[in-house]
Amino acid sequence: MNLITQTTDDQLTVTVDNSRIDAAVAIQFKDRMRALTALGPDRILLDLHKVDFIDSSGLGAIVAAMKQLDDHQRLDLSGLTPNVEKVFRLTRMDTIFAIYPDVPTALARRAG
Amino acid sequence: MPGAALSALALVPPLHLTLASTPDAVRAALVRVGSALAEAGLRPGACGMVELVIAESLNNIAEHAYRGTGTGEIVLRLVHLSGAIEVTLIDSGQPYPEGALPKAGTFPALTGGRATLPEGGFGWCLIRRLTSQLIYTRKNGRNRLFLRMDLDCLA
Repeated sequence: MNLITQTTDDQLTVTVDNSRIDAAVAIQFKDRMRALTALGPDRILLDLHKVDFIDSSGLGAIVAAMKQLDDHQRLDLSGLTPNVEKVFRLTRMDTIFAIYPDVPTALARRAG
Repeated sequence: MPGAALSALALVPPLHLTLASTPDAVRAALVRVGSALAEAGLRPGACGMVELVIAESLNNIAEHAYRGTGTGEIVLRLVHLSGAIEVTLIDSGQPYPEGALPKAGTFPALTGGRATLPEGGFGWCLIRRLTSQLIYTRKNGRNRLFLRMDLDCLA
């Protein structure tokens, strides 16, 4: 599980540099996210444009990554590919996260 | 468009895989299924949903039938019919409680704020939502799960 981070204007962008978030990497993903976001800025953007497959373990790990944030932090998503978007839609998790088409759009629009 | 008609008929030869009940073996099997379906010209959206249904089913077998031991064996057979994919999964793990699949009709509720959001409970809902037929049988110490996915319904 490769996660690439970049900090811009006090926002942390985490790009998943893997094509799959599945049962094989779900726990590792959650743990890596905890390490990266602890003491991080208020807004964290998880960019999924390289991910073309996610299963319910991967979805659960993203939810867990949000739940383990401090109260003042928020997790937004960007770059959902069609298969990933479909899983969020079917489970209605698309109603829980602010989802942006790509990183520049997400960074330009700080969700309130 | 004769070309389009031909590609629509290019069915995948039946796939027959035997895999270990580990997350890495499940992933490798899914990658093989995905590339076979893509090669046969299945739309990427349908490929992704077929992969998802098989992923959830294999994860259930690895985690519940084989209790996460990683020591079990799973047989996967996939047949591509015109308009549908049929998958049979066979394992020698524990049977489902009371000999029946979990009901899991509706997706978990998302009300109640961040702290109470569900991190699981989606697997069976996704399987039921994306399959048109689901048959579980237990015979001679083996679980057999038959899943049918209608390609028109996977868009």
